Amino acid sequence: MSSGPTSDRPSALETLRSAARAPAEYARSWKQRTGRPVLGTFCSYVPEEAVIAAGALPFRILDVPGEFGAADPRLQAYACCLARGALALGSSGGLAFLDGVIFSNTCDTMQCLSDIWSANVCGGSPGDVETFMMPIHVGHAAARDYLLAEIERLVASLGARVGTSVEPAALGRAVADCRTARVALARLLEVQQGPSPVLTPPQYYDTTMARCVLPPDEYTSSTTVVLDDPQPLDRVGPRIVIAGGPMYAPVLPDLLAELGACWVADDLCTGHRAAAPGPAPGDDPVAAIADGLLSRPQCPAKHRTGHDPGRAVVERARQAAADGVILYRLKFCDPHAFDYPRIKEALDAAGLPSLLIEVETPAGSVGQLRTRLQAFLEMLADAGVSEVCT
Amino acid sequence: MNRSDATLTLGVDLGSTAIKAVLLADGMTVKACRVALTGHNARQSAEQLVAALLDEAGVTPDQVARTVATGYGRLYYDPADREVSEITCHARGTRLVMPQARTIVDIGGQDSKVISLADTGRVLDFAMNDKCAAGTGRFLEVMSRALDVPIEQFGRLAEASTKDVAISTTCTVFAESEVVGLVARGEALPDIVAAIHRSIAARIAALVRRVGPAAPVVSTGGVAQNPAAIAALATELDQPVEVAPDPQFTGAIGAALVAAADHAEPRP
Amino acid sequence: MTTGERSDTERKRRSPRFVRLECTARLHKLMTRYYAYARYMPRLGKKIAWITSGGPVEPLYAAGIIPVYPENHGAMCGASRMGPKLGEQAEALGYSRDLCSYARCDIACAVHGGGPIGGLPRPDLLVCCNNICGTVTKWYEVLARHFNVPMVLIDTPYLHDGQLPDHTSRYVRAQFDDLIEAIENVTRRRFSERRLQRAMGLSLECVQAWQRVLGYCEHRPAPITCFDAFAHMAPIVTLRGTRWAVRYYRHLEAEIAQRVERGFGAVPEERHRLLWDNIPIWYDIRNLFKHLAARSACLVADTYTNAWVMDRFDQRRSLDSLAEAYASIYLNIGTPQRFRQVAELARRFSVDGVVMHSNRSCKPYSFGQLDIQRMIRDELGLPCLMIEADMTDSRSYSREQVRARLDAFLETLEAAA
Repeated sequence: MSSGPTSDRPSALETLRSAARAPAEYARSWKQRTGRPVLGTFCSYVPEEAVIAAGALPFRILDVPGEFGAADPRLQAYACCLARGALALGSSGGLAFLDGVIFSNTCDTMQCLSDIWSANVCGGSPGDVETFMMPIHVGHAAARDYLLAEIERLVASLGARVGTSVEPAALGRAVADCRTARVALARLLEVQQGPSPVLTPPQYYDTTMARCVLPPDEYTSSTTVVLDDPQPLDRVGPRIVIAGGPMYAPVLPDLLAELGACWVADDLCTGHRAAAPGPAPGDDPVAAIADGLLSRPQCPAKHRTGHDPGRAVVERARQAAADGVILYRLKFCDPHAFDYPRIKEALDAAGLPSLLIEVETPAGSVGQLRTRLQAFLEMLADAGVSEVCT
Repeated sequence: MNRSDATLTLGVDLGSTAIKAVLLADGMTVKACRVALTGHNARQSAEQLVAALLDEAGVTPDQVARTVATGYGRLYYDPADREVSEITCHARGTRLVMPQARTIVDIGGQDSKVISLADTGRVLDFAMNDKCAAGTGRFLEVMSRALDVPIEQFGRLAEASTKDVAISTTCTVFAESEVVGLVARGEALPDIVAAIHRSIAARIAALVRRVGPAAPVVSTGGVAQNPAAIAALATELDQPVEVAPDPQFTGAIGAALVAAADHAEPRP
Repeated sequence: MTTGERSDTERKRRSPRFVRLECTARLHKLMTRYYAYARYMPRLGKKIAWITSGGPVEPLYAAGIIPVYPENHGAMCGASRMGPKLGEQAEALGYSRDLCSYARCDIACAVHGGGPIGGLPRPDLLVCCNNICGTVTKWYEVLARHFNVPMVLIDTPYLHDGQLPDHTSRYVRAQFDDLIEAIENVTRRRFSERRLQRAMGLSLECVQAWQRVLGYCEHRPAPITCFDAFAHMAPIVTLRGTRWAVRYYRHLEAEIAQRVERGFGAVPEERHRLLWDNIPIWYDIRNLFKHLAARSACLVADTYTNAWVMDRFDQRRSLDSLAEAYASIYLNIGTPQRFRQVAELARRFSVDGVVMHSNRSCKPYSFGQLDIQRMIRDELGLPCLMIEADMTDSRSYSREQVRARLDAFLETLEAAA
């Protein structure tokens, strides 16, 4: 399924941008065009291949409002804005175009949200909500067998939901297409973190977020156009890595652009972590999906013995020759908040300046965000000066 | 009288409560400074303030080599040649008046910030609280209204405290009701005011600990003018806390310094 | 015995005495002995494991490893009113104030050695089971880095419909093998199946005794309140699997049975029987009891103490049975199932109203409460009050507001009576 021609760089970037900035519109129009279902997800670990093979469009629910009134009767205020915003949107009918939602056990909040969603958004029937229980213990040998069974269960369940049975061939094609899309993104991110970045911060945002919206083949064709016509940026200001997540508003990248910085790399589930292509698939598509999920760069909500979140971020920053690292998290996000002290310690030890940005909603408090970013970038600029002029 | 060969730069700090302007000569001497309430039109208030300042100093606008704006409203002051964050400006400004400072604690009317400096004066790290009233001047204002006691009397009252009374919550709104409860219970006013100071000091100290504190610790901003609050902070940090002279103006001084540096070495 | 309306002044004069169970002295001795044992036995070569409250402790006791519960320690920090100070220390280390207050207290104590008992003895092994929440996984990762000791994770995927699928069961069971291997590495001894069965047997005895203890509150008037239960739950949490706990609960049971025989009610002139949901507000238990008792209200049951009912052990199937039991506990099942458990408790204990603690520090326990509250009202026809607090960190507690809400709630009950 492909849309109009994206044969030149500006239109390719525009395709990516409009998908990233108005994902619901894209999904609605896709649904109208194709007559096929759209299934919502919250977590990048939910196998998009399974959804695609069932003939549906996976829709990562990230474009949620910053006003939670409709969620308050159902969910307390100490939940993150993504959960509250999504619940508010769902409760007020804003996600009525979805034909179902797949919840994963990303964290305590998401786990509880699935039951609340069943009761309040889908009219009280637990069957309206799909679940996908990703193993947390990704480093454990038994996780793979469990995951294979869980993926098969999901595939069967999705098939029943859309009224067809999902053939292995369809799953195999979905696996191949998604992998191609990931490879395209990975290659672009590789260029971006090198000596000649090609994307402005807002373009970086658009390119990574569009991966959560566009069907894989459309995504691949747009990204390939950009890859084939690199156009390095004229001025590259301070090189910034953004780690944490999820970041679902372009406020921060827009400010980085305004303040003259360059976003060169990320460690986000909306970017680099979900772009890992995984091992080359063999004959078994379910195994390919499982191995892809288990081999990803570590997400804070998963556990692997001996993993050091600090070292991971430092390596990312070094690979990208970063001048500074922005540690981004949503308020009330436990997994990221627990990792923060270790990450900060490692960055300090490595001499890499960092800035913690914790947001109550991604699009809120722009003035305060701007002040912090500006102060941070001024700090980085001064780092080259040994004596402050007085 | 103005020496016609001195380079004059202007720093304007557009805070949410007050606007401060400083005229600096040769990047080191404060020639004039002035403050006014922001009111509801920051841009207009700033322009009027600057006009009055220049007038007082006997300087015409074209004699000002360069202007830098900082603070909450910095984006709206068009005459500025550049806008710079208040972190950088407070660091530079404090450095000028107290070169030994290594940790700056700025406690404003609606926000507070802590800046940690290298020996060279370069900013190493910073932390800001601009979301929560606790730990800012607003906390004291709310308490002042709750007790119906002017803030200016807080310092003197706290000194007369003889008993440790606790305010357990950190939220300003809940603390207000706690204070009302303390009054109803018959606790002595000096003891309550001392508790209020300990409360604000605890919040500020928590912010300070995120970046330090490396000695010497210097406080700036409006609340720095309250000796009891500063004493409580020093107790909480178990470290001496000095107060910068003219603590309200450090941001504007820093902005004027940045302007002087820009003038000396033009940016690309 | 007078009934009927009571004036406000009368109520204020009343302020009933909190009559301690005589067993309380025995409880203190037992817990002191336990913590002393944990502190000094390592000098004689005994190993220490820190374990989560929902973790499988039976293999540890079977292997002679002393388990220590940071969550129990967290409750002690709360009860000793050290939550705010320890919280500030954790925040100074960079841990967000929005994180679980048990974790923050524990990490602060681990790093600075503070807390009500001067800190917990160093672990040789960390055993983390995420059947209660995902926070423990992150918390224990921090501890593993800090102490540089092995961490065993037993991941028990959430059971939305309360059923345990085969592939989940196999996955959980496989992780139990890691636990046994880690135990053998730490003790340098082969793991004894026989001892495990014995520990499971003792665990089962303990759980059954505990259920009987809690069951006495079905009587009118209730011989103890939830506040007694919260205090006396320490052995079932920390010493489940030992004879110490079994013996202790036998004594407790005997004393409570006597109270029932005498017709003694923990709350004089009990009029309102209430159910509590969520972890207690550890630093305000005594005062809440007094406040409620002065208004003739008694908390007769709660979901927290009733969670320690892992009674699905089949000793013959040992590890397999353990894996299944631990994968299916109260907090690991969906909201509809949790409501059914609440409904069952409300029925058994003849409850007039429900008080839910919306606990900032425990998302899995608190999220879903708003739906359960609605179900309690609509399907059980019971009034249900929600109060907001934190279990350990009193900085998030507004005592006056909570009192006011309780009073309004009790007035509703009074009017309905």
